[in-house]
Parts: sequence; structure tokens; C-alpha cells
Amino acid sequence: MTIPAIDMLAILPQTIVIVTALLVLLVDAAAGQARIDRQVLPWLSLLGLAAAAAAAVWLSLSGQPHYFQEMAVADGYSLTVMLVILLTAGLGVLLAQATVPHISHQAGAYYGLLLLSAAGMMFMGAALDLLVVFLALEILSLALYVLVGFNRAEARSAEASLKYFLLGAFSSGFFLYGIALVYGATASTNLEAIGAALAQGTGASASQSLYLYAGVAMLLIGFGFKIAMAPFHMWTPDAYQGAPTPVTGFMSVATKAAAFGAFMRVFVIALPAAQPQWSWALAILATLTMTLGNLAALRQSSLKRMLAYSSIAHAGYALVGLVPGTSQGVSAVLFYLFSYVFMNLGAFAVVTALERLGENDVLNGNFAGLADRRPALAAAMAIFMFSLAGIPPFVGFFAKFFVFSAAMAEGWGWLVLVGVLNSVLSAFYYLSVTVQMYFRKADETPAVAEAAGKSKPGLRRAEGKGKKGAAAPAAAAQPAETALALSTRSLSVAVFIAALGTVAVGLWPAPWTQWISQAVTAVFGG
Amino acid sequence: MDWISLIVVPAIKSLVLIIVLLTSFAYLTYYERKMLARFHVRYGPNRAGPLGLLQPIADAFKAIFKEEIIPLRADKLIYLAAPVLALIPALVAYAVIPIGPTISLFGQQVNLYIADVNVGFLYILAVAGLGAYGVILAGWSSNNNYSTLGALRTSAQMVSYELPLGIMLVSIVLTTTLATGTGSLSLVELVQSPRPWWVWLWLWIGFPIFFICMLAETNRSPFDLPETENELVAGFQTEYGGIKFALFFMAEYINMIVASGIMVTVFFGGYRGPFVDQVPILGVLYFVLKVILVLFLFLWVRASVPRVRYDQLMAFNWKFLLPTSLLYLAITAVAVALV
Amino acid sequence: MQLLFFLILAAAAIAGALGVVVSKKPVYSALSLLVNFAVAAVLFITLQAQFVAVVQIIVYAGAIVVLFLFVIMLIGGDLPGVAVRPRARAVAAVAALVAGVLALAGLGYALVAGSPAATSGAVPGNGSVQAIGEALFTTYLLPFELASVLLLVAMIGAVALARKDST
Repeated sequence: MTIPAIDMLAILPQTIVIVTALLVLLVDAAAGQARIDRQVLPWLSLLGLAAAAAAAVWLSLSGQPHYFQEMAVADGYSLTVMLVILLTAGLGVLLAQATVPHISHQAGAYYGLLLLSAAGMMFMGAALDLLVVFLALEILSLALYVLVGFNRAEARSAEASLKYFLLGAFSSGFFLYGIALVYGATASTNLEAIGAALAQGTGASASQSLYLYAGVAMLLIGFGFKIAMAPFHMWTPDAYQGAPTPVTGFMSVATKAAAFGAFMRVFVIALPAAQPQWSWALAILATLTMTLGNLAALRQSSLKRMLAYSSIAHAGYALVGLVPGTSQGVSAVLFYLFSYVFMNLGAFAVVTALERLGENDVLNGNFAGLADRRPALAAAMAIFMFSLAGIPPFVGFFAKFFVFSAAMAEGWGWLVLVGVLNSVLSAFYYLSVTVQMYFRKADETPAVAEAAGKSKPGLRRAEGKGKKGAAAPAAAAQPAETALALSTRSLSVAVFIAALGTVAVGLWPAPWTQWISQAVTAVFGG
Repeated sequence: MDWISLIVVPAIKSLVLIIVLLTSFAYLTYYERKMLARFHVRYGPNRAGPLGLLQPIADAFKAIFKEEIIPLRADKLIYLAAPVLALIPALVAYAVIPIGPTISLFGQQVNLYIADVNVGFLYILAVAGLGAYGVILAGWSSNNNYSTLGALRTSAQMVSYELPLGIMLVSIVLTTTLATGTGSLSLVELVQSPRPWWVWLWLWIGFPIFFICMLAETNRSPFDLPETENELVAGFQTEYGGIKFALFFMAEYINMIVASGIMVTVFFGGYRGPFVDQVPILGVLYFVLKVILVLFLFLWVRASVPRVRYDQLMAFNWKFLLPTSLLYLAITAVAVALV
Repeated sequence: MQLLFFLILAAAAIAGALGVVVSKKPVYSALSLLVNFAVAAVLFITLQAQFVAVVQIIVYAGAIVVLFLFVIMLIGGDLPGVAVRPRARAVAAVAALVAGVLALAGLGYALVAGSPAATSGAVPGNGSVQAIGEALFTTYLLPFELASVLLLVAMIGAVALARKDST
């Protein structure tokens, strides 16, 4: 047996993240005895993420792709996906810092799992082999199942976790079966080998194409589940609403980035032979996803649930970019994911800031009059909402524009039309939030008073004082006060970064698109 | 010829082995009672036959002629199958243990083992894992809370103690690479391969860990938690009587014999001893003697060590045995890599 | 002879699998699963993959089904009172039947027509301990290590969910 030569640089960023996760867990374990404040854990995590990001940037500047045998690669594409994930994870840590101490005593486990799931996501972007894709998928899923259920005081969190887990395990089964079938058709799990085998035309026999189509369909289901594509989106609203908000923000963006990262590589590199078929399938699914997501989002009263449906719709927009299967489309999707980090995480950061202590949701009504109470927060939220709706000059507009023009270039006109109509539809619910913030007074909406009244039994700490003595007059002002309790500096930093990204990348998209399309063409060809 | 060596010979060997095992089970109980009596300064059985030697046979008759009782609302099928499921793995495990060197019998070369499986070690682990089913199912199907609790304890205990056991086996397999260069999972090759004296010393250092795991795997005291009479009546076998109880009894004692056989094979050179090369049949004698000595260890522990509490049992495994065995494995691996 | 042996085993495996689905008592389902795993192990042996066979027994039969039984016993051992509407049940049964028949037909057809994977790769000896060990530490080093990360995640998650929140 000869030990193969291994290029450890190929998995350097992931390794850094995993090591950081272990460090966080060790520090957490030692914290009790060594009298270390557990507040160092998020900073340690951020440090590790920053180091990993630095490593990724350094690797991509060095130009040469690094291969870990034939299993994983650090090329421009995977490094870009990694950077998107690292950015999301960093913002996720900032968000979590304010909330975690209130929902759990196990900060170490929280940050450890967050980092490990980020590592799994990074491996998805880097995977060159379906086995690695599957293992990475499982790593990130398992960690997220637990994170979703992390708020053990809340029944809804447990319910969300269980639903996510059961459906996720089911979809993993599909994915694995898909790998087996594709292996049956091509005798390999390596992406390039699969592509080569199919290109050689050994795939002409009927049996092979049967295997292949069945396998591709199963893979599609597996990926579709992770990116919340209709009709595999059923878990999304419940999981997003039940999960602690920082987790929701993290998973809504990072999981999508990771799954799309692997999705695009698998379909464009390994399965171009079946492209006519999967293009049509994806086009139909994208239509379904956008429309369903937007229509459902219109009717939500819980903001987290609305954002969940909106994220389904956004998965649909991003899918549009994948439909043509060109490298232009791939870079458009990548840019979409990149911009989605800022706008969506930003929105969830604002939701986190507005959550009353111990509660895990924000109703639409809670936004009423926010502009008077907290103008900066309201302005940031308005930016995120405009951007999500796709209004220029914010980054969301360019993201959609690139995706649609990539589809247009290959003649998917009707799909683009559906996408644009959906954007218009989505503007209703995004803008209604803005309207609430700026044009309604806080005391106009009965929902606020009601929401303030029914505080959860186990979480009276914050509201117990004012509750009995000053009943009626204080009720309207109360949500604002308790909301402040959750806002901390790290949260403000997160909101600020997200808002800055949304505006700045929107105003100067050129350097970013250039970087991305360079990275993508190096991997996917012209 | 082919089918003779493939089917008939193993069948005869298996039959002989089963008969031998069942007989030795009977006399193991006698051995145990006599020994415990010694420890307690009593006489032990001495009425049935000379020195009480017919006592096991009398016990067997008693068990057979007892009334069959099946508890109301028990799950009949599983209730009846459980004792059998407990016994079979115990018997099957002996298939890979070499009892003696190759001898010539009726003009044929006969290997004194049933199968030289090339994954013998893993086979033993697999069979040991299956042993839990008889107990679990017995506990569940009796429809009795004491039984169920006993069964729960057993499953947890056996699954837990399999870990250090497996890790110790891995370390032992590692030492075989020293002799042959490639290493082997076959117990037959393990016995045949020569090893330097310091390897033996190192193995004997690990023997106590292995022995403790085996005590737990066979549910012997001080780890006989599944059947603690002062808290669980008789654990999983509370509802069993007559011949079905005897089958459980049989399974437990044959498991002990199997465990002793494994330990003799792994730690004490199996059938090897002086003059075995000249007179092969001596090997069998050595093997039996060694097994009897190791069995004595089981009895000695039972007579001297009080039963542990359940949480102690678990904590001992996870917090002491497992780390220790991992350390043992690490040291072994480093040593093997260096030599 | 070989075919006969295979057919007997395959029938046993299918019987076990059916038993998992149709048994009324969870314990019987678990035991049917055990039968299925055991038969699969024997099938592996007929393919000369002794290592996989034995590991199948150790891991699945020796640990996983034991844990299933453990859980079944802890939660009572009888079917919990899930009130499944008869109509939903019928729909589910029909859907499962259709999906199963489709999958079976597709696979059967593909098997008859031949697949490249069936003719390549597997050679006797591929299933030996040495071969598997070598593959794990050379070709599949990264998946192997990732699997360890996966187990670590599972462990941390289990502790995080199960530990008492008292510190």
C-alpha cells in the first residue's frame, strides 16, 4: 500500500473552520473550571472564520487550483462559494451573539455546530465526487437539524427541528439513491468521470439513459429539498419560523449557497449530456417555486414566515440562472447568492433585533411606526426590503437582472417573463413592511397591544415588572422597550455590514461580477 | 471427496463440538458450585453420585420435568424463541476457535477447528453482538416490568462494553503484523504465528481490560445487573421456568466457556505448549487446561467481588475502560509502526 | 446451484423487508429488519465480501436493531395511538405501490438490458479487509475523514439536545 501524495492546501479553509469548531468546543468545556467568560466563543469563531476566509482569498489569488486527490478542489469557483458561506457564517455568529445566551446554556455546542455545518457547506462547494457531496450534505444537515431545535424552551423549535429532520432524512435517502443510480449508469461517482462517460456516448443504450434519468431526478429532489424548491419546500416555513432567528438567517442563505454550489457543479460538469431534459425540468420547477413562494408570502402575518416563503421564491429566481446551464448562468447564480447574503441576512438581523426577549417571532404589526422609534433600523430594513423586491439601485436588482439575462441569452423568454411578473408580485409584501414602518403609528395597530399582552409563561423575566402595575397605557410602548433589550452592538454591526453590502455592491457591482465570472469561466469554460 | 470435506466433516465436527460444549456446560455448573463452596468453606453438592458428580444430570431431569408455564399476555412466539436465540450465538461462536493443531484421524488430516474464517476476530464480535437479542426479547416478551428493566440494562451494557472489547481486539490484531508482516484477522493464524516475548508481556498487560469486558459481555458478576435479585427479582428471566430457564442458564455458561476459549486463544497461545509438535493431541489437553484455569478466574471474581451499581457500571466503561483501551491501542500502534 | 442459493436468500430478504412493513407490532418489524440485515450479510459473503458481511452484522444487527428495540421498549412496545385516517392510509398505500412497481420495473428492465457498473469494478477479493482498508486510506481518504466529522457532528448534536440545561 502506498500512501498517496496529498495536497492539504486544497482543503485548507475547511480544515481551519473544523479546527476552530473543535477549539470552540474545548474552550467551552474548559470554561467552567478555567473561569473563562463564554463570551469569547463567538469571537473565537469569528477569528476562525476570518482566518479561513483569508486562506480562501490567498488560495484564489495564487491562481492555481489545488486538488485533493479527485475528491475536492480549491479552484476559483469553490473558493467563491466558500467565501459566500464564510461571510454568512460570520454574520450568523454576530446575530447569534445577542440571542444564544437567552435561549441556551450551551453556547459552545451552538458555535461548534454552526462552524461544523459551515465546514460541511464549504465541502459541498468544493466536492468533485458525489460521495463527498453526500457526506458534506449530511454534515451540514445534521448540524442544522440540531441548531433548529436549539431553543429547547420553545415547543415550536422542537417541532421545526423534528419536521426538518424527518423530511431531510427522507430527501437524503433520495439523494443517495440518485447517486447509486448515476453510478449504475456510468460506473463512477467522480463528476468528471461521469461527464466523460456520458460524453463518450457509451450512454446510448436505453438502460443507461433510464438509470441516468432516474438518478438525475433523484439528485434533483435531494438538492431541491436543500434549496427549498417547490414542491419540496413543505418544511421551509415551519422550520424557518420555529428555529431561533439567527439560525434561520444563517441556514436560509448558507444552505442555499452550499446546495447551489454543488448543484451547479454536478449538473453542469457531470450531466451536460442530459441537459435538454433537466433544463426543462428546472424551468418548470423554477416557475412553480417562484409563484408558490410569492403567493404564499402575500398572506403571512408572521414576518419570519413571510421571509421563509420569500426565500422559497428567491430559490426560484436563482434556479432560473441554472436553467440554461451556461457559465454565464452559473456566474449569475453565484452573484445572486452573494447578494442574497446581505439582503436576507440583513432582514433576519432586523427581525432578531425586534424580537421581544424570549420570543421567537415578529408579527407584521410590530413594525408599525418603527421609523419613529428606531430610524436607523427602519432605514436598514427598508433597504433590505427594496433590495429583496429587486428595486434598483440595490444589489437585489442586479442579481435578478444577471440571472434573467443569462436565461434570456439562451432563449428562455417565457421563463424570464414569469420571473419578472413574480418580482412585481413580491413587491407587494416587501413594500407593505416598509409602509408599516414609515406610514403607520405604533398605537394604530391592535396587533401590537395584543402581542405584548400574551407573553410566554416561562419568559417573564423582561416583562414581569411592568405587566401588572401599568397595564393599559404601557402596553403600546412596551414592545419597543423590550425589543431594545435584545439589541446589542454585535447585532448593530451585523445590520450595518448587511446594509452596507446591499448598497455598495448594488452601486458598484462591476468588480464583484468580474471576480465571479473570472472564477466561473476558469472552471466551467467559456 | 469434495462434498465430504465441505459438508460431512464440518457437520460431524460441529456435532461433536456441540455435544462437548453441552456436557462441559453441565460440569461447569458443578465446577462452579464446588468452587464457590470452597470459597465459602462449605462442601457443595455431594449427595448425587460419588462426590456429587451426578448432580448436573439430576438438575437437568428436574428442569425437563417441570411444568411449562407461559405468562398470560406474553408474546408467545417471541417468549418461546428468546431462550433459543440466546443459546445459538453462544454455540456458534466456537466455530472459529482452534482447539488443537491438525491431527491425523482415520488416515485423514483433521483440523481441530470448524472454520478458519479470515475475519475470525470480527466474526466473534458479530456473534457477541447477536447474543444480546435473546435477553432483550425475553425481557420484552414476558410482559413484566422487572423483565423489561433487566433487558434494557442488558442491551445498554452489552452494546457499551463491546466498544472497548473491539478496540482491544484491534490492538491484538495489530501485534500479529509483527510476525507475518501483513497481519491477519484469523484466530488460527494468530495461534500459529510466533511472537517475541515482549509482545506476550504487552498482551498480558492488556489482559485485565479484556477480561473485564468479557465479564460484562457474559453478564457475570460483578456485572450481572440484568438479573439482580435484590432489585429486579431475576431480571429478564423472571418469568422463565423449567427447560426454558435451563436454556438461558446454558447460554450463560456456554458464553463463559466461549469467552475463556477466546481469551486462551488470544492471550495464552491457544493449544500451544511443550511437545505439541511431536504429540499433536497434547494441544487439546493444553487448551482444555488453560480454559479451566481461565474459568476459575470467572468463579474467583464471582466469589470475591460485590456487584456494582448500574451507573457505576456505565461510568466505569465510558470513563475508564474505553479511554484506557484507546490508549492501549495507540501505544500498540506506535510500537508496531516503530518496530 | 448458485442461482438456487441466491433465490432462496433473495426470497428471505424480501420476506424480511415485507415483514418490516406489514407487521402490526413494532417489535416484529424490528425483528424482520434483523432478518433482512442477516440475509444481506449472507449475500455479501456469497460475493466474497466477508468484511462487509461481518460489519453488517456487527453494526446493523448488533447495534442498530438493538437500539431500535431499546427505543421500542422504552416507549411502550405497542403502536402509539396514531390516528391515521383510513382514506389517507389507502392513498398512501396506493402511492407506495405505484412508486414501488415503477422503481422495480425500471430497475428490472435496466438490469436485463445491462449496466456498465455491473460489468466493471467488482472482482473477487475487492471485499477483503486489506482491499477495503487500502481503499479507505488512499482513494477514499477524504470521504473517510468527512465521515468522522459527520459522526462528530452527530455526537455534539445529541449531547446538545439531550443534556440538561442546568449549568
